[in-house]
Amino acid sequence: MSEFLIYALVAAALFAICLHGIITRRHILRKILALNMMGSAVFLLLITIAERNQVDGVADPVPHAMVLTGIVVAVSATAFALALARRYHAQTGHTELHDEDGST
Amino acid sequence: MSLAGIWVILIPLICGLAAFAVGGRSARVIGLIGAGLTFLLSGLLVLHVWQSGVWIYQLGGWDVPLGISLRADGLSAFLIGMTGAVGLGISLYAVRYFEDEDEALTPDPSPDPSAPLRTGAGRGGTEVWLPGTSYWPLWMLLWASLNVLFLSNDIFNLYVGLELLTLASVALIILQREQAAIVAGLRYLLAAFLGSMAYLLGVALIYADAGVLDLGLLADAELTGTATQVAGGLMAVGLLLKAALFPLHFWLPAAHSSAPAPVSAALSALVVKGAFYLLIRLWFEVFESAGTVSVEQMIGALGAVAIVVGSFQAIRQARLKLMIAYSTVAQVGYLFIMIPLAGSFGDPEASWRFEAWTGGLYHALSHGFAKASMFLAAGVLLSALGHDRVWHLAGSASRFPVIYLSFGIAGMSLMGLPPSAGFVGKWLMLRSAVESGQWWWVVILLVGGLLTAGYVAIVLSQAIQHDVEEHTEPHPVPKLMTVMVFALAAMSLLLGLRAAEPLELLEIGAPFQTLMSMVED
Amino acid sequence: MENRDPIPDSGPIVRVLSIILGLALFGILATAVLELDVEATGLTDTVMERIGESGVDHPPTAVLLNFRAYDTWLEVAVLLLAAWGALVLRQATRLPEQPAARSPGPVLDWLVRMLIPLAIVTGVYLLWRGTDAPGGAFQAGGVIGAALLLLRLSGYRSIGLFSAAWLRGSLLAGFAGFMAIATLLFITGWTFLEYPPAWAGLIIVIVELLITWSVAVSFVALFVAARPDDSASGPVGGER
Repeated sequence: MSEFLIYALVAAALFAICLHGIITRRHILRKILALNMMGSAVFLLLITIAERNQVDGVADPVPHAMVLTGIVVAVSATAFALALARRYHAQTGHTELHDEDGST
Repeated sequence: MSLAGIWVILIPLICGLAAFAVGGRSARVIGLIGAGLTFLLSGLLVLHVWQSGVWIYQLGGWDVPLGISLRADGLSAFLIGMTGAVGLGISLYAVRYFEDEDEALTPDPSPDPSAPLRTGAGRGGTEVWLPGTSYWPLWMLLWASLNVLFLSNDIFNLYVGLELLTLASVALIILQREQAAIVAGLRYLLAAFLGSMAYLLGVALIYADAGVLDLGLLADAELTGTATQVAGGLMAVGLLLKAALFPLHFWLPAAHSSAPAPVSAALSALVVKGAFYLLIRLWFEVFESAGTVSVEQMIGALGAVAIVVGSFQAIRQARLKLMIAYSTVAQVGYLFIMIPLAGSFGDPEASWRFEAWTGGLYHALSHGFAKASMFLAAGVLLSALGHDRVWHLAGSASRFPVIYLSFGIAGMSLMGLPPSAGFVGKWLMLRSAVESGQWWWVVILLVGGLLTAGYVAIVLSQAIQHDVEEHTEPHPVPKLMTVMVFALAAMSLLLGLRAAEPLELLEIGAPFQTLMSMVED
Repeated sequence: MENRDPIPDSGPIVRVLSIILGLALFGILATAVLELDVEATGLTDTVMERIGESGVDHPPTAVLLNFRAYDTWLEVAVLLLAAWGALVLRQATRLPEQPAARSPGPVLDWLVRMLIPLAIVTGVYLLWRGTDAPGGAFQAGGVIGAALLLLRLSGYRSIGLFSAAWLRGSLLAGFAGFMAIATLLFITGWTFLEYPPAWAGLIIVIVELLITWSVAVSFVALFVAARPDDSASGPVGGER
């Protein structure tokens, strides 16, 4: 099994695990963490692709750039979600999402 | 004029940033100028595509696949035009809406214990936080990000555009910091985040497979492998989550109904269309050769369930804004009936595919105007009466005749009654369903219309009741707000009377054999 | 305030279904991954052919700030929106001072005095290295942002000193500066986001500098504004 496949399969597994985390964990912080790690799974795949695409020792810079852009976007969304979660916690004392009908 | 495509992105951004930098009450003036200019530029772009065909622009002068290209075909122009017109209507409404809100917040100059936090003691005096001040820059950024989305021709850039749209939407939802809005905004953000991740994984797989990110190059590559199919599936699920197709609609009603009225209108009328647009763009251009009839029928079936469930939920709601939000869930269902109709069922060369595609998009257009009008109408009632409980609207028609007239007209368009724009969309989809022999969609399209009539009728019949206990005198509502509610509803009617040009616009660069091209053959 | 800790996670049925869904997703993804070519070149050659025209030597920097500058520009807007959203959440036009006014103590005091200059130098170094090696505006912004946070957490006045206009200006600088340069060139006849080849290097440095500052302030703003209102309860410094 090639190095590319090992890393790519790990990325796939990580993505699936994070989906499980998002569905089953009710604590908002855990949901946010799972989402953030899901991003890491995609970034791992992109880095793997960059490594696979190398020519004469130079890795493909386009996936690298996508990862860097993606990280900033993911950080922004995560930070905003955390800010909202803290505000929500301060208002209600809840650490999981509640509304009138009690669904999550 | 050929550069209208750049300016239509730049102008709302420039005005948004200027409004943010200046702050205070001048934000409103700048925002309004931005709205007017963006509207004009959207019109110019539509005109340009109409006259000279598909517009393509290589950003930074770098050719694809190295650089990113912008592209406006009939579909992009159609949606940018819709956004321009609806956006202008919402902006004019918002001027007075937030003026009222802000005035309610500023009058008492008494020292507040939390004053040092809320008001930065700037050099020139105090600066007070006002919802209106934050509304304008965020709304301009939201508008710009919609235009970014409609023009981008690069799947990774589209991801950035989607995130921009999401963050702007959430920031607008929480503008008034009510608890309901915070929960709704948080849930929306998490759902949209998940959708983005699925989309981004799809982008990575496509890049791994095809080595390019440009939509045009991907369409030419006619990808069919497993990786492309999986990528298509991931991107579709991610976008369906953002477009709120049943059963992924769970976040929508609360998010759309708890925001301030001009924000609700923009979210339901425009933002949902962003994800929808991207999905059909990808579906019919990149994944054309990878799609299968069964998947398309399944998406259509979800659309059908959305129509039924969304409409029944709308009928059950006690609050007007929630009713309108559930109506959006149902109407989004209609949009996705287009997928199986325009899909690969039967003959790939058939004319019904283009008919269904234009029908779905025309429905999106009519829904844009009608839904914006409805949410703005609800906003008027809410600020005039202090509540939006459907069963307490009894007798208010005599005090708000224009509002209810507009609500009725918009409702007519949602039902798809002639001569509204909704009728044109539904008629094209019905014809396509009959021609292609997919009669089951005919049934759902007709049943959906009846259910829509149900909730519109509840509101109107309440409003015209006579036996009312006297309410307190309603809070006066600025005339401009009422005028905009009516103007948007009227547009959803007028676009039904004059549908030839918009439909012809959609033919430019369409991914189907169009009627025109078939005549030429 | 019911069930504050520990939060019960989903019931067994949801868990089992979720595990099945996860396994199915992994299976689907694995099939897709296994079908990918193990050897390919993507856009590597395309980038390397034109990198001489970009004004920088480090390939990812060339892609980020020149070939795909549009992405980077919009990504700065995403960060701006997040910071801005956090300000909306606070309903504040500026950020509060650190509530605790206690003295940092001699050890912390010494450490801060050592670390802050070091962080600033590291940040600038990362920024400068970005043209020919990994590094660049976001890394530099992260380090400088951390320095600002360290100042704040150890009781010094930092971001609370910013007036409303300064705070807004700092948050905007990266996105607006990038946009101003691109718009000016666009008006004078260049393609949008195209740099005159002779100036490309300089423009990229200016843009990166501005982005660094915005990133640093945005990170701190997000951290500070995310705290729920301390205005309601405890004593708050405000402007002293």
